[in-house]
Amino acid sequence: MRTVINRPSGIVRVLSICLLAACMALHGRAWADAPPKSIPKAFEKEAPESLEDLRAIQGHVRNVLSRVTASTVGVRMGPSFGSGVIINKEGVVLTAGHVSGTAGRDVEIILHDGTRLKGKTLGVDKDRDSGLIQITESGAWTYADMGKSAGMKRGQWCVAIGHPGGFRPGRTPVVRLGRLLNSDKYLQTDCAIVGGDSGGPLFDMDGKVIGIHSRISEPLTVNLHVPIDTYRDTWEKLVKGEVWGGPKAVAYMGIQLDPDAKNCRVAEVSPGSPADKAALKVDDVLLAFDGKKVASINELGTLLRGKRPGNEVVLQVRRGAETLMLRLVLGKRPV
Amino acid sequence: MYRHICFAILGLAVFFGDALAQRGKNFLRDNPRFKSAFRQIVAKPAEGTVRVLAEGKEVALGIVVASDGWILTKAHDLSQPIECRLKDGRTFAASWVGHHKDHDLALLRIDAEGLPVVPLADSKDTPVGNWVACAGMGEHPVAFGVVSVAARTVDSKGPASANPRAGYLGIALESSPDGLRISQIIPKSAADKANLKVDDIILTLEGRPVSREPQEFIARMQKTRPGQTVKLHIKRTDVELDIQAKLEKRPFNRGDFQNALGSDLSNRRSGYPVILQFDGVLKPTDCGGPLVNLDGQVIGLTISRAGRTETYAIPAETIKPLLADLKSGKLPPPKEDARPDRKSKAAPKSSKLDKDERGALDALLSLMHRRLALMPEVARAKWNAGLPVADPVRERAFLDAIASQAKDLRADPERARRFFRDAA
Repeated sequence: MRTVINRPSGIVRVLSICLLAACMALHGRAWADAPPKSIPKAFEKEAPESLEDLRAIQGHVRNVLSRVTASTVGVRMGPSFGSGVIINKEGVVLTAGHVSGTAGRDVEIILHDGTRLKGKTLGVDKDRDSGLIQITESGAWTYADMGKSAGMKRGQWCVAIGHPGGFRPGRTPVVRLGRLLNSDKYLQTDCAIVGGDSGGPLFDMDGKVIGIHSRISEPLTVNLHVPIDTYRDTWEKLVKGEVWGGPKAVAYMGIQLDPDAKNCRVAEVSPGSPADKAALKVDDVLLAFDGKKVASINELGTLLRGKRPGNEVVLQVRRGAETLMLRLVLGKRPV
Repeated sequence: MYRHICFAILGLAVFFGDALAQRGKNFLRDNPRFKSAFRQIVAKPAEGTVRVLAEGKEVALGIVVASDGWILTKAHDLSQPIECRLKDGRTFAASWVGHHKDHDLALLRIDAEGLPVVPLADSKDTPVGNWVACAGMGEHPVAFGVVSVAARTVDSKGPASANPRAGYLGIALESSPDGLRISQIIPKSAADKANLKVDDIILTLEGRPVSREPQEFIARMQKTRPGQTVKLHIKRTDVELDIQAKLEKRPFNRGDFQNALGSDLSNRRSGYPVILQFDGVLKPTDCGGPLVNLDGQVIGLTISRAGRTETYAIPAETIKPLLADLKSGKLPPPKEDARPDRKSKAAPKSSKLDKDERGALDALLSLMHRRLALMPEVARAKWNAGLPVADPVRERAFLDAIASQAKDLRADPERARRFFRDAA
């Protein structure tokens, strides 16, 4: 059967989809019958308190890693790198929607040992940032099981694996250990992730995938992962190669602020952007947006999100010794 | 030579970070109880950990590798004068004896005896997923985390992530049989404006020869600042040219930007031949100290806070075989005023020498060269005989004598002192 689904033909693709759906049903049963957990008590404490606690955690984490590290893959599309995780023996890879982008793209899957394989992207949910890739070569893949993200508790331990900065030859998948800090639309952990990790797996202490790396914010405690349940909930659409969702039209100015500056100093103005048309210049300092004072990128972002493309705003800007008022018509972010 | 990675990027949720950051405080690594679980294992290595100060500023930690005053630390941020503050509060002036550029290790010597040595173990028994802690000078570790990637040899084709605050020249380099070749010029960059061309061979940077390997040049450029003018001596076909380039600010790079989120990074973050990677968040100035496993073994010396997700250590098994060479003087520290980021001290007014002066200088330099060439052998002999390689007390007496002689001859005593210190 494996050879059948991996033959790259249109008819066979349909077969493979049915088969994949069947696999999922099997997995579903496996979760229900999950063996009793033998997770050490140290994991239940607010924090490990002794060397014994640390040893217990370490032993268990090592055990989990020995089962799951090899399922983590690198994903390359042209010059871009992301990560992913193989979740069944047919070679379906979970990744982030912004890694796979759209359906039907050729990608390269890089196994933990550097083996490179061909793959094709399947469906994408742009709202939840979930995506699938099918490995299109035949072989026996090490895969991880999908867990459940619903009902997870704050403080629950987890392991993030991926390829920060993109796959690097000679570097095994990179492991980080942390805790779940929050779960609603996304899972939030203190497992620090960065560009290139996108699409990589977050595992629970049963060694099951509970999330897929998606986004970060500045603090090291804000690392967001797509909850695994959304993959299961939308599985058939994803496998069929449907692409849906996408950002609502967000107001766009076309500037880059200086991340080192304490104020809103403009570091870059994209040519042809609304900011460019409004004659905003590099080194201008934004003082007010639409009549409201702005002192940081966060404040500007908050105000910007309250606007829609087409809205007109007045910017108060300091340029050298002068203070200027500029009229700017917000646009749509170019794709 | 730079890998032009356009990261498959994590969307940045920069806007709602503040609220989320407050959640789950009790579970985080800054929970004091969590930290104190590591107390037992860092207690012993902390005794042999020292604070390293350069020009009076805390720049790194260091570890005692031999009880008679030998301190191993991270080299990159060192500049003279160097001091070491011990756990007992005593502070010593340190002489910089050895420097391994690739590994970024510096061996210092202080005039002290009977120091508690930090024994080096082996990182091989501490696989991925094991806890590691960074001993500092206090009771608690200065950072802790798990091993993310075991010790590995890095096949480095350039920096993993360049210092975003360093000066930016705008060239790509490659090693060629003729030397360090410019393979690409970024349009409108500092290099373009300075009229550098593709295929130019770079011979020197700020008067110092450059290695054929791009890493060395890149590492030196990391210490520059935007706005600074650097001097390059280059070869273009058969002509040699002096070029001055006014460095600019590095253009925005998403990878660099994301890596800089959340923590301060070390000035040097790449080019290490062997590294062990862990996920602890270590302050750049706390690098250079011991990395300890749960058995209390020191498995490495921390070397760089390299990115949002990564901190590096040089594995202990890599360090051990280097110690003899570092002590021997075979790997001398950089000459003080040749350091690119230091203001040159009052250069001689005229470099024009007459024939006799040049002859005398050549003779002197040749003697100095012979003396330096002998040094490793002398050091090795002393080392094998169990004698201290450096003898700071005798050295000081000797230099004092030189200074007073110089004074008698109406020469600058400080310069004479420096000459002999460097030569001997």
